Amino acid sequence: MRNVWTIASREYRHYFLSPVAYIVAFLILMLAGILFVFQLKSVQDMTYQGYYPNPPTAANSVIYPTAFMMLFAAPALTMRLLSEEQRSGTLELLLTAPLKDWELVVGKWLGAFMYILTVYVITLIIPIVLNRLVVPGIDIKATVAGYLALILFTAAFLAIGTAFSSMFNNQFAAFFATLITFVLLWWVVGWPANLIPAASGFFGYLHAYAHLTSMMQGAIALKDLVYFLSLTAVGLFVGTVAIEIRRWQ
Amino acid sequence: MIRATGLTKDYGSRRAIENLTFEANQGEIVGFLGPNGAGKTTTMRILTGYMPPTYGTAQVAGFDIIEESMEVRRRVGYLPETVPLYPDMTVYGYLKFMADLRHLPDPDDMIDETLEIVGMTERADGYISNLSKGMRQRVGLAQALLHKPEVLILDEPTIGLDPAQVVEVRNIIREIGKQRTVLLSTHILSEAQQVCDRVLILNRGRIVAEDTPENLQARLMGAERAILTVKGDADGLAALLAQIKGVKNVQARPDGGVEFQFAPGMDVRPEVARQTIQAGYDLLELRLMGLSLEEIFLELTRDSKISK
Amino acid sequence: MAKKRSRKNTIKQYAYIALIVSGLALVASAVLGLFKLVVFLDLYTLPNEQWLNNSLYISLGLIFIGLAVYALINPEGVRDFFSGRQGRYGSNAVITLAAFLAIVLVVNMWAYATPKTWDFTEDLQHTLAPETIDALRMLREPVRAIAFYTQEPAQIRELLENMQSNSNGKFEFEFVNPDVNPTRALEYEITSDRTIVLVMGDRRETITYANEQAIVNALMRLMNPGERIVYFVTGHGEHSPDQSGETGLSRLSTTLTAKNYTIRTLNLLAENRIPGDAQAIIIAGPAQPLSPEETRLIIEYLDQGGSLILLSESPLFTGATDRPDPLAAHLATNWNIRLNNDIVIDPSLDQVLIAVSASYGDHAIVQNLQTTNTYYPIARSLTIGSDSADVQTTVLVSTVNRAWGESNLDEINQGYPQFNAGTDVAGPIVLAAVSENMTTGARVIVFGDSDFATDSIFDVYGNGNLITNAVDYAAGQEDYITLTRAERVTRQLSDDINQGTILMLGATFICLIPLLIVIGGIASWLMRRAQG
Ligand SMILES: Nc1ncnc2c1ncn2[C@@H]1O[C@H](COP(=O)(O)OP(=O)(O)OP(=O)(O)O)[C@@H](O)[C@H]1O
Ligand SMILES: [Mg+2]
Repeated sequence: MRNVWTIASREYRHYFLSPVAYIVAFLILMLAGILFVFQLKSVQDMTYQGYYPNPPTAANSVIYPTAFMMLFAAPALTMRLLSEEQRSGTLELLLTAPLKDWELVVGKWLGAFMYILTVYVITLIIPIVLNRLVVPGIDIKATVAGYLALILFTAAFLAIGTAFSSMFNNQFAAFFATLITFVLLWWVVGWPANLIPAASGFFGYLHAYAHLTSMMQGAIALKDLVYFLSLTAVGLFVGTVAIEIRRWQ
Repeated sequence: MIRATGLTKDYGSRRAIENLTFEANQGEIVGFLGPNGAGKTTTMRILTGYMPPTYGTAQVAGFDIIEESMEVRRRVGYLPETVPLYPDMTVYGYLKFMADLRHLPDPDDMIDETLEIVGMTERADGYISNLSKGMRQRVGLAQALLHKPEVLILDEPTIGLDPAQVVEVRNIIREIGKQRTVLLSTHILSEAQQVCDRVLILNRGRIVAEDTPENLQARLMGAERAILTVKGDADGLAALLAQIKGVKNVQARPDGGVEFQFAPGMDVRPEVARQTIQAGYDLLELRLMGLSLEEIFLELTRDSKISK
Repeated sequence: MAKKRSRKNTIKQYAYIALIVSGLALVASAVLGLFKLVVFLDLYTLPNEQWLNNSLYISLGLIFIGLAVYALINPEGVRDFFSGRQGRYGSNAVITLAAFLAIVLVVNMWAYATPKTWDFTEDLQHTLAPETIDALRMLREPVRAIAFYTQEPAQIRELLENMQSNSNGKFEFEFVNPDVNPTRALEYEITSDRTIVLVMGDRRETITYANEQAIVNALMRLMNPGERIVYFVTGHGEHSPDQSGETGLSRLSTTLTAKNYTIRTLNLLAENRIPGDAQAIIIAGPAQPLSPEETRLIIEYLDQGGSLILLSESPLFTGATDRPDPLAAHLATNWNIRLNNDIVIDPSLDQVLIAVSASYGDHAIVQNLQTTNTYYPIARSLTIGSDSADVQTTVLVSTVNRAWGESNLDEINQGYPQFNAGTDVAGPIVLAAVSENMTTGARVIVFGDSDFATDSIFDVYGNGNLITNAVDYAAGQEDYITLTRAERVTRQLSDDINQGTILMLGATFICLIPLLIVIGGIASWLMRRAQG
C-alpha cells in the first residue's frame, strides 16, 4: 500500500508538469463553463418571456460534458503511464525495485485518478454557484449521485487506459487502443442491444453510457456500481498481467 | 553473494545465455567481459529479478531469484545499462522517490551520504534534465548505492564518463567491493584488470573463461614476448637473434625495434643482450611485453566462435 | 519460512474439493441445459420457467467459481496441467486472468439479477408510491409480469425492477419482444405492442396503458378475484355479444373475457328476474323500448345497488317514435339523464352524422382517453339535469359547440339539416354520462349511441377502451387505488438573475477559470526552466 502511494504521488506531481494535463483541465473547465453559462442564459431568456423551464442541473452542465470529455482525455492522460517508463528505461528500475507489479499498476492509475479528481474539485464551483441561482436550490442528493457516477466512470476508464498503457510500448498505440475501447463501450455497444433483442440484456449491460446516465439522474442501482467497479478491477488486473507478461515475453 | 546455476534465457527461439554457472562472494568484485550481444545485460537482468530465466536459477544475497524475488530486490543495488532517470525530477526528488520505494528509515541522511560518495551534493536540487551525461551516470549510481545493498550489480558503470570521473567511479566501486559483492560488466579490459578480483569472459551466451586477471593472463600465455631496440641501423639484427637458442618468432618492426618470443621459464634475455653487444650494436632497450588481456579476450572469443 | 510453506501445502491438499464442486456443477448444468432445451422447443411447458433459469445460472456460476477457487489455491496444479516448463508463465497468466474474469462475470450476473436501487433525489423520483409498496407487500402468491414491448423503455424497466425489489421475491418480470417471440404473444393473446400481462397462478390481468397506477390496480384485481359476471339484455333487437361482424359485440366480449369477466345473456321477459350475481347489466342498442314490466325489474335491481349500462339508439333512427319508453322516463326522473328524441349533427367531420368526442369529463371511465377521440355514428343527445340529494351525474363525453341535436328527421333526409333554436338541442351535445347513487351505490351509464361499441369500429381510436372502461366502472372494477406521490419539487431560476449576472458568470467560467489553468501551466514550465 505504501508503495502504491509512493508511485501515485510521484505520478500525481508529474501531471502538474505535463502540458497534456493542463490541456485536459483547460478543456474540461472550458466546456463545462460554456455549457453552464449558455444553458443559464437560455433558461433566463425563457423565464423573461414568461415560460418557466427547468433550470440547468449539475448533471447537464458539468457532469455529462465532463464525462464526454473524458472519452478523449482519459486516453491522453493514461497513454504514457507505463509506455513512457518502458521507453525511457525507468521501467527496469521499477521492476527491479522491491515493488509488486500490482502496486506499480495501481499506483500509476491512482496518480492519474487523483489528478483528475483535482480537476473535478475545481468544477464543483459550478454546482455551488448554481445552487445560489436556483430557487429553492438544486437537488443536492442528485448532484452527489451525479458526481459519484462521474467518479466511478472515470475510475473505470482510467483503469482501461492504464491497462493499454502497460500493454503497448508506443504511447500512440496505447492512446488509440484506449480510445477505440471507449467508443465501443460508450456508443457502439448500444446498437447490438437494439438490433439483437435476444442479447439486448447482455449488450445493454455493457453500455457504459446507460449506466452513467441512469446514475446521473439520481437512481443508483447496484448493477451500475458493480459494473463500473468491475471495469476498474478488470483494467487494473489486465494491466498487472500485462506487466508480468512483459517480464518473460 | 551471488550463486548462479545453469542460467539459460531464451528470447523466443533465440538463446541469449546458455547454462551459466558462476559465483561471486562477499568482498569480491567480479567483472563480466564480453563482446556486444554476449548476454551480459541479460544475465544481470535475471539476477536483479527483472525477468525470470527460462531454465536454471540463482541465489542472490542468500535468496532465490524466482521464489523470493522481493527479498532479492530489497538487497540488490542495480544500475541498468540505460540509466533509469526521470528528467522532470530533481536529483534529490529522484533519490527520495527511490528511498521511499525501498522504505528507508532515514532517507535524508542516506541521500546526503550517497550524494557525497558520488560527488553530486552541489547539484542535489537541480533537475535531472539539466545534467550532463556523466552526472546522470553518477545519479544512477547513487540510486544503486542508496540503500547500502549487499549486492551491487552495475551494467557498464563507467560508460560515458570523462577520465577523471572514470578513476573516481572505479575508486568508489573498489571501496564498496571491500565489504560487499559487486558484479559489473564492461567492454574496457583495462578496467576489468584494474578493478576486478575476478573476470568472467562471456561470448555468445557462454562463459569461456573465468579467473583472476593475473591468472588468466598467465594461464593463457604460451610464450613471453620481448622487444629489442638498438641505436642506428638494425639490419641483420633479426637474423642474428634468430640464431640464438630459445628465441622464436623474430620480427623486425617498422619503428626499428625487433620483436621476439621465447618459452616461459627459459629466459633468453641475458644471452640476447650479450650477443647484440658483441655484434657491435648499441643496445638501447630490452623490454618484456606482457600478452595483454585484449589479446586474450580476442583469442578466446575468436576460438569459441570457431568452435561454434 | 518452512512453516509458511507447510501451511500453504495444507490448503492445497483441499483444492481438489473445489474441482469436485465444479465437476458436480458441470453435470447439473448439463442436465438443466437439456431441460432448458426441451422447454425452449416447446416440448414441455414449465409453470415457472424462472426457477429453471436461476438454477441454470447458479450451476454455471458454480463451475466457474469452483475452477477459479482451485486456480487461486493451487495455480501450479493448473499450470502443470496445461503445459510443461516452457509455457509455464504464459499459462499461469492466462489461468489467473481467466479465473479473475470468471469471478467478475459471476459478480456482475448477480448484480444484474439483483434489482437494488438507491434513490438519490430529494423528491424521490425513483421511489415507488407507498400504495404500490403496500400492494406488493400484500402479495401472497408470486406474480409474474410479462412485458410485451418491441422497444424496451427504460422507465418501464426501472419501474418493474423497483417493484421486483420491493416484493420479497413475489413479483418478477420479463421483457418479451412480440416480433421475435410471436408464440408467446399468441399464448397471452397480445393484440397490441406495449402490453403487460400479469400472471398469478392461472389468472391473468392485461394492462395496455402501463404505468405505476395501472400496474398496481391490475395487481389489486388479481389479488381480489371473485366472479365478475355481466349480463347482456336480449329480446329487443339488441347487439349480441356472441355475434361477430358489423353489428356484433364479439370484440367487446373477448376483451372482457380477457379481463376475467363472465359474459351471459339475459331475456328479462322469459326469466322475469335479474340474477343476484349480476355485477352489471348491459342493454346494447334495443330496437324497441323495454316494457314497463322489464323496466320494473331493472328499477328494483338498481335500488339494490346494481349497475346498468344503456347504449341507446335514437327512436328517429329505429323508427320507434310512437312507443313510450318507461326506462327513459325513469332515467330522466331518477337519474337526471334525459334521452332526447333527436339525431346529433356534428360538423367536425364531413359525415355530419358521425359525432366525435371533443371533450371528456373528469371521471375514471375517461381518464386514459384524454388524448384519444371516440366516434359515435348516428347518436342521440342527452340532457343532464341538476344533481339531486343522492344522485350525482357526470358528463363523460361531449361534442364541439357547433354540433346540435336535430329533431326533424326530414331535414336530415333532405340532406340540409339546420339548427332550429326552438326545437333542437344546442351544442355542445352530451353523448355519454354516468350517474351514481351515493346511498345505494347503484351506477347508471348512458350512451346516446350503441354502434360505437360494435365490432365495426371497436378498434377505432378510443372506442373499445371507452366501453371497456365503462363496463369496469359499472362492475365496480375501476381503479382501486390512486397513488399518492411525493410532490416533485419545482425548481426555477431565481428572479434576481439578469443579463449582468450572466455576463459576470460568463467572464468567470468561460474566461477567468480556464485562463488561470493556462497561467498555472505556463508558470510551472517557467519555474522548471529557471531552476538549474
Ligand atoms: N528484449 C530482447 N528481445 C529479444 N532479444 C534480446 C532482447 N534483449 C537482448 N536480446 C538478445 O540477447 C542477446 C544478448 O543480449 P544482451 O543485451 O544480454 O548482450 P550484452 O552482452 O549486454 O551486449 P552489450 O555489450 O551490447 O550490452 C543478444 O543477441 C540480443 O539480441
Ligand atoms: Mg548490455
